[in-house]
Amino acid sequence: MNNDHACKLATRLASDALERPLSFFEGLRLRLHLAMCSPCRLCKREMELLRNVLRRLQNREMSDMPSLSDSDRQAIRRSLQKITTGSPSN
Amino acid sequence: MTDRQEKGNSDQDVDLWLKEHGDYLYRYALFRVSNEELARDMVQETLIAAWKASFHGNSSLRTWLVGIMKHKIIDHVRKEIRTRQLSESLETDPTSAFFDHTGHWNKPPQGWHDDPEALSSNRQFAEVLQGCIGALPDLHKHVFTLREMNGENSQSVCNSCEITPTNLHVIMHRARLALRNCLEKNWFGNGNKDE
Repeated sequence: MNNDHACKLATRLASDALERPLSFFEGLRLRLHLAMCSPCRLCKREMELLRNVLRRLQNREMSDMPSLSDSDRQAIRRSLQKITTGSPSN
Repeated sequence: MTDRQEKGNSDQDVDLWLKEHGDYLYRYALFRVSNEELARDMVQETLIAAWKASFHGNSSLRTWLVGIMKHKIIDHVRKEIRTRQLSESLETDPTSAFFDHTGHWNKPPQGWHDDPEALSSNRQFAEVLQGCIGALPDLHKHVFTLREMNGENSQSVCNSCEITPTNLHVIMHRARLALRNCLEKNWFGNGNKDE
């Protein structure tokens, strides 16, 4: 295997694998590199962990994050009333 | 009043939606756009769009509202990219910082000792992650947000951001390496502290 830009290319393939199916040779190339490169194995695992955590975060309630302030709520309510009662907005 | 009400949504409905789902939608937007005023406007636009449409009950009300919010986020990103003419420079490669001239690691990744379940329920981690995403170059931030936080597929991200699939792959690779590095420095704490 061409050793030039080995790790950089391997991380690109590992990232691409999260975006599209790798070709047979790309997959082979990645596996061969990972077999002898533990930093790239870690990097791949960490990129996958990042996706995994973000997937979980997407579905979380996040009840500990800030909520709408009373004034925001009032502002939204007012603009909704304008629309729902059909009065012209200004 | 209006013929809207015959379609099923009344002003009491929207009021109830705001009451029961307003905070959820607000946090959903805030986590993705990191701007309180914008997040509030997005809640408002989502509820208005929801009122103009009609809820058919094929999914839960919240899922339906979140679906509308996702479109608002896509619209926002698309507008940002267009008006600010954000594009990817292929000449300057930010990942060069992580590798030497032969393409090997300057500072090899350290192992992370944590599991996804624990991390995803950790408020502090979410904040650090949000900070790391916010520190990405603007185009990377938008593309990454749509792909990994809004859950859009590759094709949809390419369409919304008007980029080619190759562009998407380059950007995602750059963003992932930058985030990995940022998290290692600011959360996992295994990086050298002498920078």
